[in-house]
Amino acid sequence: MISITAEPIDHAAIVERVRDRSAGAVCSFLGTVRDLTGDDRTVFLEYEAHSALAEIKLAELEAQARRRWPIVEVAIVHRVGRLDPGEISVVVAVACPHRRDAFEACRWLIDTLKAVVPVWKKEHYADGREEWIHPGLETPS
Amino acid sequence: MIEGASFPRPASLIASKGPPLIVQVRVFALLRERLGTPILSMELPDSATVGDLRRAIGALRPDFEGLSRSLLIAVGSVYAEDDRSIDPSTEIAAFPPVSGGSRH
Repeated sequence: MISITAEPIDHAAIVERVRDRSAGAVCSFLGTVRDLTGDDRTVFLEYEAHSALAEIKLAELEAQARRRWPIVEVAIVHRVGRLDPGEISVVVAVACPHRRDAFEACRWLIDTLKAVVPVWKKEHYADGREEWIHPGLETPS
Repeated sequence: MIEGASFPRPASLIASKGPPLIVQVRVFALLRERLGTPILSMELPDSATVGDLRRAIGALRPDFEGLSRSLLIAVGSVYAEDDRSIDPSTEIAAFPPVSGGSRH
């Protein structure tokens, strides 16, 4: 299951969805909005995506992960729009026969997602500043 | 917000044999915000590559030169290298690095 959604994410339902009799391990990762980065207090985040391309890239990641690990079921859901601190921005859930594979696949999926899937976030700080997070960007903000 | 804002092509790109390509580029995040439009209409030489598009975006504004070097340019569903030629019938998108590229 691959999805880019503007709705709040029901992480428990996603974990339930990947559970299976043949899977002895389910590993899930939740990305949640942090209220403090260094000295900057986040009031809310705004996530933007190229949704069609993001879903294609997520499907490619799922296919790559299924070639590397014996995945029974996998779900990747990313939210877009305005998110307040504490809310869930992304969920990855992986079911495998054994836990080592479930942990490894889940870790690889979230790390790779963050590097290649076209989703961006904009910080809105308590002092009124706004900042797009574009790692490695060669431009003054 | 102005849809499909148009910009003159830079003088360096005017040398071209055939009719120029008019390319609609979907732009996102910081790039979209600074341009004030989600769709950028660019005029490029008829045999333009992804690298030509990158340089043309970089020439639009003084503060885009550094930004343009970091852009990912998607042709269809593939992140394209600079030597790939532009096919205007395929969707083209340009965007800055994605959020979590630092692997924190």
